[in-house]
Amino acid sequence: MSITLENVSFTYAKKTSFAKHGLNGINLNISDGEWLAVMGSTGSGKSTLLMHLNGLLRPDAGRVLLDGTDIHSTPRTLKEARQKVGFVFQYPEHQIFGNTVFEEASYGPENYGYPSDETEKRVKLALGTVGLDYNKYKDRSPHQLSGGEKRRVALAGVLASGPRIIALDEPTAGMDAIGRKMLIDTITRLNRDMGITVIWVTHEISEIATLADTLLILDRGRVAGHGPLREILADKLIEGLDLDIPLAVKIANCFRERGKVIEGHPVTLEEIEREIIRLVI
Amino acid sequence: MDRLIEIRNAWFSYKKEKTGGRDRWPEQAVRNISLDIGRGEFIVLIGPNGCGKSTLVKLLNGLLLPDRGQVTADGLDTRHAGSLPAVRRKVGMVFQNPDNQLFASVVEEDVAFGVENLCLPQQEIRKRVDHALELVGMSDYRDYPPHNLSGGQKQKVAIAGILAMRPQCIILDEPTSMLDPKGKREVMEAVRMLNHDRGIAVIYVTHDMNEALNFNRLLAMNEGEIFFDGPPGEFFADKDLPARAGIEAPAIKKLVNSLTKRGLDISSAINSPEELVDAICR
Repeated sequence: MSITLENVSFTYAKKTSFAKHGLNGINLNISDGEWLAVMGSTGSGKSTLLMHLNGLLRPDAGRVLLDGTDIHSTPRTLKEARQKVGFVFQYPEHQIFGNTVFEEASYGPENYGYPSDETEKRVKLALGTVGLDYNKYKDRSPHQLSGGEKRRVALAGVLASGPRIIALDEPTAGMDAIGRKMLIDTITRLNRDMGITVIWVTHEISEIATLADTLLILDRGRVAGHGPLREILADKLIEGLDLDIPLAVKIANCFRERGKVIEGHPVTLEEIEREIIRLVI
Repeated sequence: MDRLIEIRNAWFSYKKEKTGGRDRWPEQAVRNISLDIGRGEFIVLIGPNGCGKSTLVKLLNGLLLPDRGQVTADGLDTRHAGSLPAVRRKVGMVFQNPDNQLFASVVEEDVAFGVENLCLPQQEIRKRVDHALELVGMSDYRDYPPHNLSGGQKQKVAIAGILAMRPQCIILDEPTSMLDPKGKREVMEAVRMLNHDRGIAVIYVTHDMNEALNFNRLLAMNEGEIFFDGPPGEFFADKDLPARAGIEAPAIKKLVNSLTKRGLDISSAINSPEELVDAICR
Protein backbone atom coordinates (compact mmCIF):
# COMPACT_ATOMS: atom_id res chain seq x y z
CA MET A 1 0.00 0.00 0.00
CA SER A 2 1.44 3.37 -0.99
CA ILE A 3 0.99 6.78 0.62
CA THR A 4 1.27 10.11 -1.13
CA LEU A 5 1.31 13.52 0.49
CA GLU A 6 0.45 16.34 -1.88
CA ASN A 7 1.44 19.79 -0.71
CA VAL A 8 0.34 19.08 2.87
CA SER A 9 0.35 21.99 5.33
CA PHE A 10 -0.85 22.06 8.90
CA THR A 11 -0.92 24.79 11.54
CA TYR A 12 -1.39 24.19 15.27
CA ALA A 13 -3.65 26.55 17.25
CA LYS A 14 -4.96 28.22 14.12
CA LYS A 15 -6.36 31.73 14.43
CA THR A 16 -4.82 32.27 17.86
CA SER A 17 -1.70 34.18 18.83
CA PHE A 18 -0.06 30.78 19.50
CA ALA A 19 -0.44 29.66 15.87
CA LYS A 20 2.54 27.51 14.87
CA HIS A 21 3.37 25.86 11.58
CA GLY A 22 3.52 22.07 11.99
CA LEU A 23 3.99 21.17 8.34
CA ASN A 24 4.62 23.46 5.42
CA GLY A 25 3.96 22.24 1.87
CA ILE A 26 5.10 18.63 2.25
CA ASN A 27 5.29 16.50 -0.90
CA LEU A 28 6.19 12.88 -0.31
CA ASN A 29 5.63 9.48 -1.82
CA ILE A 30 6.10 6.27 0.15
CA SER A 31 5.95 3.14 -2.01
CA ASP A 32 4.43 -0.21 -1.14
CA GLY A 33 6.89 -2.26 0.95
CA GLU A 34 9.30 0.65 1.46
CA TRP A 35 11.05 1.25 4.78
CA LEU A 36 11.28 5.01 5.29
CA ALA A 37 13.31 6.49 8.13
CA VAL A 38 12.39 9.99 9.33
CA MET A 39 14.78 12.29 11.19
CA GLY A 40 14.60 15.87 12.39
CA SER A 41 15.18 17.83 15.58
CA THR A 42 12.39 18.43 18.08
CA GLY A 43 9.68 20.59 16.57
CA SER A 44 10.63 19.72 12.99
CA GLY A 45 7.23 18.12 12.34
CA LYS A 46 8.01 14.39 12.57
CA SER A 47 5.11 13.44 14.83
CA THR A 48 2.78 15.86 13.05
CA LEU A 49 3.63 14.12 9.78
CA LEU A 50 2.89 10.67 11.23
CA MET A 51 -0.45 11.83 12.54
CA HIS A 52 -1.46 12.85 9.04
CA LEU A 53 -0.81 9.40 7.61
CA ASN A 54 -3.81 7.79 9.26
CA GLY A 55 -5.97 10.87 9.51
CA LEU A 56 -5.46 11.68 13.19
CA LEU A 57 -4.81 15.19 11.92
CA ARG A 58 -6.45 16.70 8.88
CA PRO A 59 -4.28 18.89 6.63
CA ASP A 60 -5.26 22.57 6.33
CA ALA A 61 -4.17 22.42 2.74
CA GLY A 62 -3.18 19.57 0.45
CA ARG A 63 -4.17 15.90 0.39
CA VAL A 64 -3.10 12.58 1.90
CA LEU A 65 -3.65 9.72 -0.54
CA LEU A 66 -3.72 6.04 0.34
CA ASP A 67 -3.31 3.97 -2.84
CA GLY A 68 -4.49 7.04 -4.75
CA THR A 69 -7.60 7.75 -2.64
CA ASP A 70 -7.88 10.85 -0.45
CA ILE A 71 -8.28 9.46 3.07
CA HIS A 72 -10.58 12.33 4.04
CA SER A 73 -12.99 11.89 1.12
CA THR A 74 -15.61 9.85 3.03
CA PRO A 75 -15.96 8.44 6.58
CA ARG A 76 -15.30 5.01 5.04
CA THR A 77 -11.95 5.97 3.54
CA LEU A 78 -10.93 7.49 6.87
CA LYS A 79 -11.86 4.31 8.74
CA GLU A 80 -9.91 2.32 6.17
CA ALA A 81 -6.86 4.57 6.71
CA ARG A 82 -7.06 4.06 10.48
CA GLN A 83 -7.13 0.30 10.00
CA LYS A 84 -4.51 0.04 7.27
CA VAL A 85 -2.03 2.46 8.82
CA GLY A 86 -1.06 1.12 12.24
CA PHE A 87 0.40 3.70 14.57
CA VAL A 88 2.84 2.88 17.37
CA PHE A 89 3.13 6.01 19.48
CA GLN A 90 6.09 7.07 21.60
CA TYR A 91 6.18 5.07 24.81
CA PRO A 92 3.22 2.90 23.81
CA GLU A 93 3.48 1.07 27.13
CA HIS A 94 2.09 4.20 28.83
CA GLN A 95 -1.14 3.71 26.94
CA ILE A 96 -1.82 0.13 27.91
CA PHE A 97 -5.19 -0.23 29.63
CA GLY A 98 -6.31 -3.86 29.18
CA ASN A 99 -6.53 -6.15 32.20
CA THR A 100 -5.00 -9.01 30.25
CA VAL A 101 -2.63 -9.20 27.31
CA PHE A 102 -5.47 -10.69 25.24
CA GLU A 103 -7.85 -7.84 26.10
CA GLU A 104 -5.19 -5.29 25.19
CA ALA A 105 -4.25 -6.86 21.86
CA SER A 106 -7.86 -7.60 20.83
CA TYR A 107 -9.10 -4.03 21.28
CA GLY A 108 -8.40 -3.11 17.64
CA PRO A 109 -9.94 -6.09 15.82
CA GLU A 110 -12.96 -6.09 18.14
CA ASN A 111 -13.68 -2.47 17.35
CA TYR A 112 -13.31 -3.08 13.64
CA GLY A 113 -16.16 -5.56 14.08
CA TYR A 114 -14.41 -8.88 13.54
CA PRO A 115 -16.20 -11.97 14.94
CA SER A 116 -14.62 -13.34 18.10
CA ASP A 117 -12.99 -16.39 16.48
CA GLU A 118 -11.39 -14.13 13.85
CA THR A 119 -10.25 -11.74 16.59
CA GLU A 120 -8.68 -14.60 18.50
CA LYS A 121 -6.90 -15.81 15.39
CA ARG A 122 -5.53 -12.34 14.73
CA VAL A 123 -4.37 -11.81 18.31
CA LYS A 124 -2.66 -15.21 18.31
CA LEU A 125 -0.83 -14.36 15.11
CA ALA A 126 0.08 -10.86 16.26
CA LEU A 127 1.48 -12.04 19.61
CA GLY A 128 3.46 -14.72 17.78
CA THR A 129 4.86 -12.12 15.41
CA VAL A 130 6.21 -10.00 18.26
CA GLY A 131 7.70 -13.08 19.92
CA LEU A 132 5.24 -13.55 22.79
CA ASP A 133 3.83 -17.07 23.29
CA TYR A 134 0.03 -16.83 23.07
CA ASN A 135 -0.85 -19.40 25.74
CA LYS A 136 1.80 -18.16 28.12
CA TYR A 137 0.94 -14.48 27.86
CA LYS A 138 -2.74 -14.10 26.94
CA ASP A 139 -4.12 -14.13 30.49
CA ARG A 140 -1.31 -12.20 32.14
CA SER A 141 -1.71 -8.60 33.22
CA PRO A 142 0.24 -6.35 30.83
CA HIS A 143 1.12 -4.14 33.77
CA GLN A 144 3.27 -6.87 35.30
CA LEU A 145 5.40 -7.33 32.20
CA SER A 146 8.82 -5.80 31.65
CA GLY A 147 9.14 -2.57 29.67
CA GLY A 148 10.29 -4.40 26.55
CA GLU A 149 7.45 -6.94 26.78
CA LYS A 150 4.87 -4.18 27.25
CA ARG A 151 6.10 -2.46 24.15
CA ARG A 152 5.75 -5.70 22.21
CA VAL A 153 2.19 -6.14 23.52
CA ALA A 154 1.39 -2.62 22.30
CA LEU A 155 2.85 -3.48 18.90
CA ALA A 156 0.82 -6.71 18.78
CA GLY A 157 -2.31 -4.65 19.47
CA VAL A 158 -1.55 -2.58 16.39
CA LEU A 159 -0.70 -5.63 14.25
CA ALA A 160 -3.91 -7.44 15.22
CA SER A 161 -5.93 -4.92 13.21
CA GLY A 162 -4.10 -6.08 10.09
CA PRO A 163 -2.27 -2.91 8.98
CA ARG A 164 -0.37 -2.77 5.68
CA ILE A 165 1.62 0.22 6.84
CA ILE A 166 3.17 0.72 10.26
CA ALA A 167 4.26 4.12 11.52
CA LEU A 168 6.48 4.08 14.61
CA ASP A 169 7.42 7.17 16.62
CA GLU A 170 10.84 6.61 18.24
CA PRO A 171 10.06 2.97 18.97
CA THR A 172 13.35 2.10 20.71
CA ALA A 173 13.62 5.16 23.00
CA GLY A 174 14.48 4.17 26.56
CA MET A 175 15.08 0.48 25.76
CA ASP A 176 18.23 -1.50 26.51
CA ALA A 177 20.36 -3.11 23.80
CA ILE A 178 18.57 -6.48 23.92
CA GLY A 179 15.08 -4.95 23.77
CA ARG A 180 16.10 -2.75 20.86
CA LYS A 181 17.46 -5.65 18.86
CA MET A 182 14.31 -7.74 19.37
CA LEU A 183 12.05 -4.90 18.29
CA ILE A 184 14.16 -4.09 15.23
CA ASP A 185 14.25 -7.79 14.26
CA THR A 186 10.45 -7.98 14.53
CA ILE A 187 9.91 -4.94 12.31
CA THR A 188 12.49 -6.26 9.83
CA ARG A 189 10.52 -9.50 9.52
CA LEU A 190 7.25 -7.60 9.03
CA ASN A 191 8.85 -5.52 6.30
CA ARG A 192 10.82 -8.26 4.53
CA ASP A 193 8.51 -11.26 4.90
CA MET A 194 5.07 -9.67 4.95
CA GLY A 195 5.80 -6.66 2.74
CA ILE A 196 4.51 -4.19 5.30
CA THR A 197 5.49 -0.60 4.63
CA VAL A 198 7.43 0.86 7.57
CA ILE A 199 7.75 4.51 8.56
CA TRP A 200 10.23 4.80 11.41
CA VAL A 201 10.84 8.11 13.19
CA THR A 202 14.13 8.13 15.09
CA HIS A 203 16.96 10.18 16.53
CA GLU A 204 19.25 7.17 16.32
CA ILE A 205 19.56 6.36 12.67
CA SER A 206 22.54 4.03 13.23
CA GLU A 207 20.14 1.35 14.49
CA ILE A 208 18.41 1.00 11.15
CA ALA A 209 20.96 2.44 8.72
CA THR A 210 21.28 -0.84 6.84
CA LEU A 211 17.58 -1.70 7.06
CA ALA A 212 15.71 1.39 5.89
CA ASP A 213 15.61 2.11 2.15
CA THR A 214 14.99 5.80 2.22
CA LEU A 215 15.48 8.71 4.60
CA LEU A 216 13.38 11.82 5.04
CA ILE A 217 14.85 14.77 6.92
CA LEU A 218 12.45 17.37 8.25
CA ASP A 219 13.41 20.85 9.34
CA ARG A 220 10.85 23.31 10.74
CA GLY A 221 7.97 21.63 8.98
CA ARG A 222 9.64 21.35 5.57
CA VAL A 223 11.43 18.57 3.70
CA ALA A 224 15.17 19.24 4.09
CA GLY A 225 16.24 16.04 2.39
CA HIS A 226 14.65 12.90 0.95
CA GLY A 227 16.12 9.99 -0.98
CA PRO A 228 18.22 6.83 -0.65
CA LEU A 229 19.34 6.64 2.99
CA ARG A 230 23.10 6.41 2.43
CA GLU A 231 23.20 9.36 0.05
CA ILE A 232 21.14 11.59 2.29
CA LEU A 233 23.25 10.78 5.36
CA ALA A 234 26.45 11.66 3.51
CA ASP A 235 24.97 14.94 2.29
CA LYS A 236 26.67 18.02 3.74
CA LEU A 237 23.36 19.83 3.96
CA ILE A 238 22.16 17.84 6.96
CA GLU A 239 25.22 18.68 9.07
CA GLY A 240 23.79 21.96 10.35
CA LEU A 241 20.51 20.41 11.48
CA ASP A 242 21.65 19.12 14.86
CA LEU A 243 21.02 15.45 14.08
CA ASP A 244 22.89 12.42 15.37
CA ILE A 245 24.53 11.01 12.27
CA PRO A 246 26.24 7.58 12.41
CA LEU A 247 29.87 7.46 13.49
CA ALA A 248 30.84 5.80 10.19
CA VAL A 249 29.45 8.77 8.24
CA LYS A 250 31.26 11.28 10.48
CA ILE A 251 34.56 9.41 10.06
CA ALA A 252 34.12 9.15 6.29
CA ASN A 253 33.42 12.91 6.07
CA CYS A 254 36.45 13.60 8.24
CA PHE A 255 38.71 11.52 5.98
CA ARG A 256 37.36 13.23 2.88
CA GLU A 257 38.11 16.64 4.40
CA ARG A 258 41.74 15.49 4.69
CA GLY A 259 41.72 14.58 1.02
CA LYS A 260 41.50 10.81 1.52
CA VAL A 261 39.35 8.71 -0.79
CA ILE A 262 36.53 6.77 0.85
CA GLU A 263 34.59 4.48 -1.44
CA GLY A 264 30.81 4.38 -1.39
CA HIS A 265 28.75 5.62 1.56
CA PRO A 266 29.71 3.61 4.66
CA VAL A 267 27.07 3.72 7.41
CA THR A 268 28.07 0.83 9.69
CA LEU A 269 31.19 0.24 11.78
CA GLU A 270 32.08 -2.80 9.66
CA GLU A 271 31.91 -0.77 6.48
CA ILE A 272 34.05 2.10 7.75
CA GLU A 273 36.48 -0.38 9.29
CA ARG A 274 36.97 -1.98 5.89
CA GLU A 275 37.68 1.46 4.40
CA ILE A 276 40.16 2.35 7.16
CA ILE A 277 42.02 -0.94 6.68
CA ARG A 278 42.12 -0.26 2.94
CA LEU A 279 43.56 3.21 3.60
CA VAL A 280 46.39 2.04 5.85
CA ILE A 281 47.53 -0.92 3.76
CA MET B 1 37.48 9.30 50.28
CA ASP B 2 35.19 11.59 52.25
CA ARG B 3 32.04 9.49 52.32
CA LEU B 4 28.63 10.99 51.61
CA ILE B 5 26.45 7.92 51.12
CA GLU B 6 27.19 4.49 52.53
CA ILE B 7 25.32 1.35 51.58
CA ARG B 8 25.99 -1.75 53.66
CA ASN B 9 24.72 -5.16 52.53
CA ALA B 10 21.46 -3.76 51.18
CA TRP B 11 18.74 -6.12 49.89
CA PHE B 12 15.46 -5.14 48.33
CA SER B 13 12.52 -7.02 46.79
CA TYR B 14 9.28 -5.47 45.49
CA LYS B 15 7.04 -8.45 46.26
CA LYS B 16 6.97 -9.43 49.85
CA GLU B 17 3.60 -11.13 50.12
CA LYS B 18 3.74 -14.86 50.61
CA THR B 19 1.44 -17.43 49.03
CA GLY B 20 1.25 -20.94 50.44
CA GLY B 21 4.25 -20.33 52.64
CA ARG B 22 6.70 -19.55 49.87
CA ASP B 23 7.77 -16.41 48.11
CA ARG B 24 5.81 -15.91 44.91
CA TRP B 25 8.39 -13.46 43.64
CA PRO B 26 11.72 -14.60 44.94
CA GLU B 27 13.52 -12.12 42.68
CA GLN B 28 15.57 -9.59 44.58
CA ALA B 29 15.85 -6.26 42.78
CA VAL B 30 18.93 -5.39 44.83
CA ARG B 31 21.11 -8.20 46.16
CA ASN B 32 23.55 -7.56 48.95
CA ILE B 33 25.02 -4.34 47.62
CA SER B 34 27.70 -2.47 49.57
CA LEU B 35 28.90 0.79 48.13
CA ASP B 36 30.42 4.12 49.16
CA ILE B 37 29.65 7.36 47.36
CA GLY B 38 32.15 10.14 48.11
CA ARG B 39 31.47 13.87 48.21
CA GLY B 40 31.72 15.49 44.80
CA GLU B 41 31.95 12.21 42.89
CA PHE B 42 30.82 12.03 39.24
CA ILE B 43 29.30 8.59 38.81
CA VAL B 44 27.42 6.87 36.00
CA LEU B 45 25.28 3.78 36.66
CA ILE B 46 24.48 1.43 33.77
CA GLY B 47 22.88 -1.97 33.21
CA PRO B 48 20.06 -3.64 31.25
CA ASN B 49 16.34 -2.95 31.87
CA GLY B 50 15.21 -4.59 35.08
CA CYS B 51 18.72 -5.01 36.51
CA GLY B 52 17.92 -2.95 39.62
CA LYS B 53 19.42 0.45 38.72
CA SER B 54 16.31 2.45 39.56
CA THR B 55 15.76 0.42 42.72
CA LEU B 56 19.30 1.09 43.88
CA VAL B 57 19.08 4.85 43.35
CA LYS B 58 15.73 4.99 45.15
CA LEU B 59 17.39 3.37 48.15
CA LEU B 60 19.92 6.20 48.24
CA ASN B 61 17.47 8.91 49.33
CA GLY B 62 14.98 6.77 51.17
CA LEU B 63 12.28 6.59 48.49
CA LEU B 64 12.69 2.85 49.10
CA LEU B 65 14.01 1.33 52.30
CA PRO B 66 16.25 -1.74 52.29
CA ASP B 67 14.64 -5.01 53.47
CA ARG B 68 17.98 -5.89 55.00
CA GLY B 69 21.16 -3.88 55.39
CA GLN B 70 21.62 -0.17 55.85
CA VAL B 71 21.81 3.03 53.81
CA THR B 72 23.14 6.24 55.35
CA ALA B 73 23.33 9.64 53.66
CA ASP B 74 25.64 12.15 55.35
CA GLY B 75 25.48 9.96 58.45
CA LEU B 76 21.66 9.77 58.54
CA ASP B 77 20.07 6.31 58.42
CA THR B 78 17.23 6.22 55.84
CA ARG B 79 15.29 3.75 58.03
CA HIS B 80 14.72 6.43 60.69
CA ALA B 81 11.56 8.19 59.57
CA GLY B 82 12.70 11.33 61.42
CA SER B 83 15.77 11.74 59.24
CA LEU B 84 14.01 11.28 55.89
CA PRO B 85 13.25 14.99 55.22
CA ALA B 86 16.92 15.81 55.81
CA VAL B 87 18.06 12.86 53.66
CA ARG B 88 15.86 14.00 50.77
CA ARG B 89 17.18 17.56 51.06
CA LYS B 90 20.72 16.29 50.86
CA VAL B 91 20.11 13.77 48.09
CA GLY B 92 17.79 15.06 45.34
CA MET B 93 16.35 13.05 42.48
CA VAL B 94 15.44 13.86 38.86
CA PHE B 95 13.41 11.32 36.89
CA GLN B 96 13.11 10.20 33.29
CA ASN B 97 9.95 11.89 32.07
CA PRO B 98 10.04 15.69 32.34
CA ASP B 99 6.26 15.90 31.90
CA ASN B 100 5.64 13.90 35.06
CA GLN B 101 7.72 16.20 37.26
CA LEU B 102 6.59 19.73 36.50
CA PHE B 103 3.12 20.76 37.60
CA ALA B 104 3.06 24.49 38.42
CA SER B 105 1.73 26.97 35.86
CA VAL B 106 4.93 29.02 35.82
CA VAL B 107 8.56 27.84 35.82
CA GLU B 108 9.66 29.70 38.97
CA GLU B 109 6.71 28.38 40.99
CA ASP B 110 7.77 24.90 40.06
CA VAL B 111 11.34 25.52 41.17
CA ALA B 112 10.09 27.11 44.41
CA PHE B 113 7.83 24.23 45.41
CA GLY B 114 10.45 22.28 47.35
CA VAL B 115 12.02 25.25 49.14
CA GLU B 116 8.65 26.69 50.07
CA ASN B 117 8.13 23.60 52.16
CA LEU B 118 11.30 24.22 54.14
CA CYS B 119 9.66 27.13 56.03
CA LEU B 120 12.32 29.63 54.97
CA PRO B 121 11.83 33.41 54.90
CA GLN B 122 10.39 34.77 51.65
CA GLN B 123 13.65 36.54 50.65
CA GLU B 124 15.67 33.38 51.11
CA ILE B 125 13.24 31.45 48.89
CA ARG B 126 13.48 34.16 46.24
CA LYS B 127 17.26 34.11 46.41
CA ARG B 128 17.49 30.34 46.12
CA VAL B 129 15.03 30.10 43.21
CA ASP B 130 16.80 32.84 41.27
CA HIS B 131 20.18 31.28 41.89
CA ALA B 132 19.03 27.78 40.91
CA LEU B 133 17.52 29.03 37.64
CA GLU B 134 20.70 30.94 36.92
CA LEU B 135 22.85 27.86 37.51
CA VAL B 136 20.99 25.83 34.88
CA GLY B 137 20.77 28.80 32.50
CA MET B 138 16.97 29.10 32.66
CA SER B 139 16.59 32.58 34.25
CA ASP B 140 15.05 34.01 31.08
CA TYR B 141 12.24 31.46 31.26
CA ARG B 142 11.14 32.12 34.85
CA ASP B 143 7.69 33.36 33.78
CA TYR B 144 7.08 30.71 31.14
CA PRO B 145 4.50 27.99 31.52
CA PRO B 146 6.54 24.73 31.68
CA HIS B 147 4.50 23.07 28.92
CA ASN B 148 5.90 25.60 26.42
CA LEU B 149 9.47 24.45 27.06
CA SER B 150 11.45 21.84 25.17
CA GLY B 151 12.19 18.50 26.85
CA GLY B 152 15.77 19.52 27.66
CA GLN B 153 14.58 22.80 29.18
CA LYS B 154 11.97 20.97 31.28
CA GLN B 155 14.64 18.66 32.67
CA LYS B 156 16.80 21.68 33.54
CA VAL B 157 13.84 23.21 35.42
CA ALA B 158 13.44 19.91 37.29
CA ILE B 159 17.16 20.05 38.14
CA ALA B 160 16.76 23.68 39.33
CA GLY B 161 13.98 22.57 41.67
CA ILE B 162 16.40 20.14 43.28
CA LEU B 163 19.25 22.70 43.35
CA ALA B 164 17.11 25.18 45.27
CA MET B 165 17.16 22.64 48.12
CA ARG B 166 20.98 22.98 48.22
CA PRO B 167 21.66 19.24 47.91
CA GLN B 168 25.01 17.51 48.34
CA CYS B 169 24.13 14.89 45.76
CA ILE B 170 21.84 14.77 42.74
CA ILE B 171 20.61 11.48 41.32
CA LEU B 172 19.36 11.54 37.74
CA ASP B 173 17.49 8.43 36.55
CA GLU B 174 17.71 8.32 32.75
CA PRO B 175 17.15 12.08 32.52
CA THR B 176 17.88 12.23 28.79
CA SER B 177 16.27 9.08 27.42
CA MET B 178 13.22 11.00 26.23
CA LEU B 179 15.16 13.95 24.84
CA ASP B 180 16.50 14.74 21.38
CA PRO B 181 20.27 15.10 20.77
CA LYS B 182 20.20 18.83 21.56
CA GLY B 183 18.25 18.29 24.80
CA LYS B 184 20.66 15.51 25.80
CA ARG B 185 23.63 17.82 25.34
CA GLU B 186 22.00 20.65 27.32
CA VAL B 187 21.25 18.40 30.30
CA MET B 188 24.69 16.77 30.20
CA GLU B 189 26.36 20.21 30.19
CA ALA B 190 24.27 21.40 33.14
CA VAL B 191 25.07 18.25 35.12
CA ARG B 192 28.79 18.48 34.38
CA MET B 193 28.86 22.12 35.48
CA LEU B 194 27.08 21.35 38.79
CA ASN B 195 29.63 18.70 39.57
CA HIS B 196 32.69 20.55 38.38
CA ASP B 197 31.93 24.10 39.57
CA ARG B 198 29.70 23.40 42.57
CA GLY B 199 31.18 20.13 43.80
CA ILE B 200 27.79 18.44 43.93
CA ALA B 201 28.05 14.65 43.76
CA VAL B 202 26.22 13.21 40.73
CA ILE B 203 24.84 9.73 40.17
CA TYR B 204 23.60 9.44 36.61
CA VAL B 205 21.65 6.47 35.24
CA THR B 206 21.74 6.00 31.47
CA HIS B 207 21.54 3.55 28.58
CA ASP B 208 23.50 5.94 26.40
CA MET B 209 27.06 4.67 26.37
CA ASN B 210 28.34 7.85 24.74
CA GLU B 211 27.10 9.77 27.77
CA ALA B 212 28.71 7.23 30.08
CA LEU B 213 32.16 8.15 28.76
CA ASN B 214 31.87 11.61 30.38
CA PHE B 215 32.02 10.30 33.95
CA ASN B 216 34.89 9.51 36.32
CA ARG B 217 33.47 6.38 37.87
CA LEU B 218 31.23 3.75 36.29
CA LEU B 219 29.04 1.26 38.15
CA ALA B 220 27.65 -1.60 36.05
CA MET B 221 24.76 -3.69 37.38
CA ASN B 222 23.18 -6.94 36.38
CA GLU B 223 20.54 -8.99 38.20
CA GLY B 224 20.61 -6.83 41.28
CA GLU B 225 24.38 -6.81 41.73
CA ILE B 226 27.19 -4.42 40.89
CA PHE B 227 29.73 -6.35 38.83
CA PHE B 228 32.00 -3.48 37.83
CA ASP B 229 33.13 -0.37 39.71
CA GLY B 230 35.89 1.63 38.05
CA PRO B 231 36.83 4.10 35.28
CA PRO B 232 34.57 3.98 32.16
CA GLY B 233 37.61 3.67 29.89
CA GLU B 234 38.62 0.43 31.60
CA PHE B 235 35.07 -0.96 31.34
CA PHE B 236 34.69 -0.32 27.61
CA ALA B 237 38.21 -1.43 26.72
CA ASP B 238 37.39 -4.86 28.17
CA LYS B 239 36.05 -7.23 25.54
CA ASP B 240 33.70 -9.16 27.85
CA LEU B 241 32.37 -6.68 30.42
CA PRO B 242 29.96 -4.66 28.23
CA ALA B 243 28.50 -7.78 26.61
CA ARG B 244 28.08 -9.44 30.01
CA ALA B 245 25.80 -6.60 31.03
CA GLY B 246 23.79 -6.76 27.80
CA ILE B 247 25.31 -3.38 27.00
CA GLU B 248 26.77 -2.17 23.77
CA ALA B 249 30.05 -0.33 24.00
CA PRO B 250 30.02 3.15 22.40
CA ALA B 251 30.52 2.88 18.64
CA ILE B 252 33.87 4.68 18.73
CA LYS B 253 35.19 2.22 21.35
CA LYS B 254 33.99 -0.80 19.36
CA LEU B 255 35.70 0.49 16.24
CA VAL B 256 38.97 1.31 18.04
CA ASN B 257 39.01 -2.16 19.70
CA SER B 258 38.35 -3.86 16.41
CA LEU B 259 41.02 -1.88 14.53
CA THR B 260 43.54 -2.60 17.29
CA LYS B 261 42.74 -6.28 17.03
CA ARG B 262 43.50 -6.11 13.32
CA GLY B 263 46.96 -4.82 14.09
CA LEU B 264 46.57 -1.03 13.88
CA ASP B 265 48.73 0.80 16.39
CA ILE B 266 46.28 3.39 17.76
CA SER B 267 45.60 4.60 21.29
CA SER B 268 42.74 3.02 23.22
CA ALA B 269 42.02 6.50 24.61
CA ILE B 270 40.57 7.71 21.30
CA ASN B 271 37.11 9.16 21.97
CA SER B 272 36.04 11.01 18.81
CA PRO B 273 36.03 10.61 15.01
CA GLU B 274 38.51 13.48 14.66
CA GLU B 275 40.98 11.82 17.04
CA LEU B 276 40.69 8.57 15.12
CA VAL B 277 41.23 10.20 11.74
CA ASP B 278 44.20 12.15 13.20
CA ALA B 279 45.75 8.94 14.49
CA ILE B 280 45.41 7.25 11.12
CA CYS B 281 46.49 10.18 8.92
CA ARG B 282 49.50 10.88 11.13
